Amino acid sequence: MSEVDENYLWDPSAASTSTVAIYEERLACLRGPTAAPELRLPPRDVEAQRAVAVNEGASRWAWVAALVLAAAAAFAWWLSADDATEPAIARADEAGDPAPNAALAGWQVERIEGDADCRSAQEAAADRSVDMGEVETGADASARLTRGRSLVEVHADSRLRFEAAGLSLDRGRIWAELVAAEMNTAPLTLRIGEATLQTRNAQLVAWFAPDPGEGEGAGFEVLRGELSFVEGETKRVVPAGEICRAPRLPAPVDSLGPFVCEAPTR
Amino acid sequence: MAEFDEAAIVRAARAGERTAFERLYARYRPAVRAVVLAHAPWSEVEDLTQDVFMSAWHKLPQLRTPAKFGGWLMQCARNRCVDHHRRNRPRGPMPERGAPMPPRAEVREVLEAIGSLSASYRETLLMRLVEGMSGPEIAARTGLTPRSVRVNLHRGFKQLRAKLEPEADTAASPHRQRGGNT
Repeated sequence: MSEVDENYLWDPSAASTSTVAIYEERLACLRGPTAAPELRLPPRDVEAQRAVAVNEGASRWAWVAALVLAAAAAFAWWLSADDATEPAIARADEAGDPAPNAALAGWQVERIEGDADCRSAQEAAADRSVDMGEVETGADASARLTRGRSLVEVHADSRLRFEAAGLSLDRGRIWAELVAAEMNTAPLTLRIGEATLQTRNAQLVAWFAPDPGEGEGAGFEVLRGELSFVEGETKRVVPAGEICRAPRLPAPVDSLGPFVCEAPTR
Repeated sequence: MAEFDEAAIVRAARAGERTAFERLYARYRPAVRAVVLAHAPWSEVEDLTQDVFMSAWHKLPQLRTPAKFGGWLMQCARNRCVDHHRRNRPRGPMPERGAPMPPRAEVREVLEAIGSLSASYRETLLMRLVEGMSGPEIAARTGLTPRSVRVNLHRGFKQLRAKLEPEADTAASPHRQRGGNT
């Protein structure tokens, strides 16, 4: 490309070149109207206005808030170092023995290692029909749950909810072998963000980082079997060997893009 | 308009002043339109561009740094296009470019060639060739450095010519540049 081309590309007021001008001329019909259409701005949401106030106040109070938080964190650390407090409902002991038979939508806690909480509404309410709960693991912790021939391992820093409709990965990473009990029973369901996976027999790894700055977004890899994948209006079968990822779109507006599946090149 | 003034206008718009937001709209509309054209069907560009500004009006209070308004707005535009594809694709993978295209064959040809370039080249070239923005204007609106804009324009235009005028590409390097700066 000539220097004249480059200068004109950078500055349209410079001496024009036929090369660049030809493309400009062809694309001129796509240019927007000189007078921009009127923008009819509706009243701003009340919550958004509140956010302005929070933002304005945030800088003023940031130092005070930081000091208060630091003091609270130091106090919490002092308490935990002095006397390990019991979690609200269930927790593995230091020897890593299983938690008391926490029933989570029919799932049984087989083993917990490290600092993990299993919250089961059944235990609290003593009502065996209640069918939701969750497992939340801390750093370096893990939990293993079974139901029939199905098995789920919840990795560190993760939260998995157990509901009547299926499993829901709120955060972190799991390994799962999901096997439907009978051919005439409903397939097993796992939700990851906006996506829903269903299978009668598959082994998979799934991960989800819902918060900005926490990781690579969401995804899953089918290790064995196959599953059906639904996200919005997209529905497809994902066979063993495929990896599907929903990457985090770049800052400053953080959100997850759509899942894209691919067979790894080996 | 000085950078300082623009930050003040963004702060005013963030606080709910409509006139200030309308000034930003007039100033940023061509750049947003080009980003939308780079990611969405031609026939939807006007509606999506309006949507981006409506959405930005509501979300602006979440922007903490007024100086980053340009980059933030461009990302809003890209996200809006992703949403559009997610809601409208029937099934299967997202098409690289949307349909329908403009009627004239020669325009279609150039637009399709631009559509095959990487997103950063696509956006920068459309700002320059369609909206007539200069390099410094593109840098100011997008938050990119002037050097990145210059590189995107240079490499993007070179690749565009190589696609449409293969015979004019004799001087091109065998190692094609891909990617670009966003």
